[in-house]
Amino acid sequence: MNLYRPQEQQTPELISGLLDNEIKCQNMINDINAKLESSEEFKAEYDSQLKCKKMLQSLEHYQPTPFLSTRIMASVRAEAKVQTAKKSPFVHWLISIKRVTIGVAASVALFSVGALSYSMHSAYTNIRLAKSMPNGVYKTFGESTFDNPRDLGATHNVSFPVQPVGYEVEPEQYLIDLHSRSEAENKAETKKVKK
Amino acid sequence: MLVKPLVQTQTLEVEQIDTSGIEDAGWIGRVLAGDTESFGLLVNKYYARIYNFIRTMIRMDDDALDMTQETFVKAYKNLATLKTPERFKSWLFRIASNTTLDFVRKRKINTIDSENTLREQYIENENPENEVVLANRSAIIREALAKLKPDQREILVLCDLEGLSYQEIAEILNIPFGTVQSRIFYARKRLKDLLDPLTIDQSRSLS
Repeated sequence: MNLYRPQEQQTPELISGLLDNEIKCQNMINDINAKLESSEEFKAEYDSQLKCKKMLQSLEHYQPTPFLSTRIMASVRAEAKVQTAKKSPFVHWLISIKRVTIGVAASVALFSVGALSYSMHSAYTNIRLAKSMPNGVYKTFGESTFDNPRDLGATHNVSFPVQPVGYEVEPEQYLIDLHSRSEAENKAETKKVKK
Repeated sequence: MLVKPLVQTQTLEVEQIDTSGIEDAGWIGRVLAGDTESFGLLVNKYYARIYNFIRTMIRMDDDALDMTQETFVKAYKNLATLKTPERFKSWLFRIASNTTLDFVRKRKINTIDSENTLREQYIENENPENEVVLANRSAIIREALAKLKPDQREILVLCDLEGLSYQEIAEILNIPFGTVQSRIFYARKRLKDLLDPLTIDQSRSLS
């Protein structure tokens, strides 16, 4: 049965049936309400709620000092002045100048941070490079002889890296000696140097 | 049969709100047009109610004065954002409610004292010859009110002390109508539980 047909298409029986149902539902609701309202529990709850309400309504209202309204209006007038001042062209100009200043300051600060981090990174790389170099190649930080460690052999400023302490010969002669001696002689020489 | 009286009551309430709201809307229009002094009319109309609401919520006189002032200044600042000036009262109470709850949260005000304080206070002061019995009774009810949760206290103050309608409370607290009803029910129930021991003591002392 289609209940949603236009009213003119609905049969009188259907309409009367719907009305009957509605009346039945209303009666059921009325019955439930009546039962609820007559129950002791409902009455007790209703009474206690009403009692609470009356108790609260019996409370006297706190009365503020009569000067409060004057105080409030003083604040409101001050606020009105501030709002009026904000609308003046001079204040608008000041606000825009302030915004531009803040923008420039923020850009400068950002650039400074970038530059600082770049120089820190460079310094760190240089220190790592210096540590990996043989003695004398990087005398002090910032006085590096070479930009590229691969160019190491192409300079004359290199101090010989493995010259033992106390061995008073030229480095080239030392190397020749090292290769011409037998292994046993080399060991004996090392022991002698250590002593 | 049950529906008719409810409808009539609601109509009456709406009429009352409209009259008051139209008056407020007129004053608001003047304030927005640049007449700051017209705001004074709104202040005079509502400051006592707002103060009473805040004072009942936080129970500190100086802070209540400050917050009442803050509420009105906030209202003045944001008056242009009020879409329906007829509902100024609900809007103002909502500002007051938010200001108060912020204050309670920031200061972490402890309103839950020991449960026995009420009873002791009542027994000490129940002598009928005492002239301040009535005043003490009020103090006890206020004490019990203070022991409620902030949301329960707030809704009872708005409903029973300030006499606002459920619809207005729903607007102020931004909660559904049904929630207002249930919250009021549970708040009153809790208040009754808090005041019950006192009622029993009273009946015993009388018999």
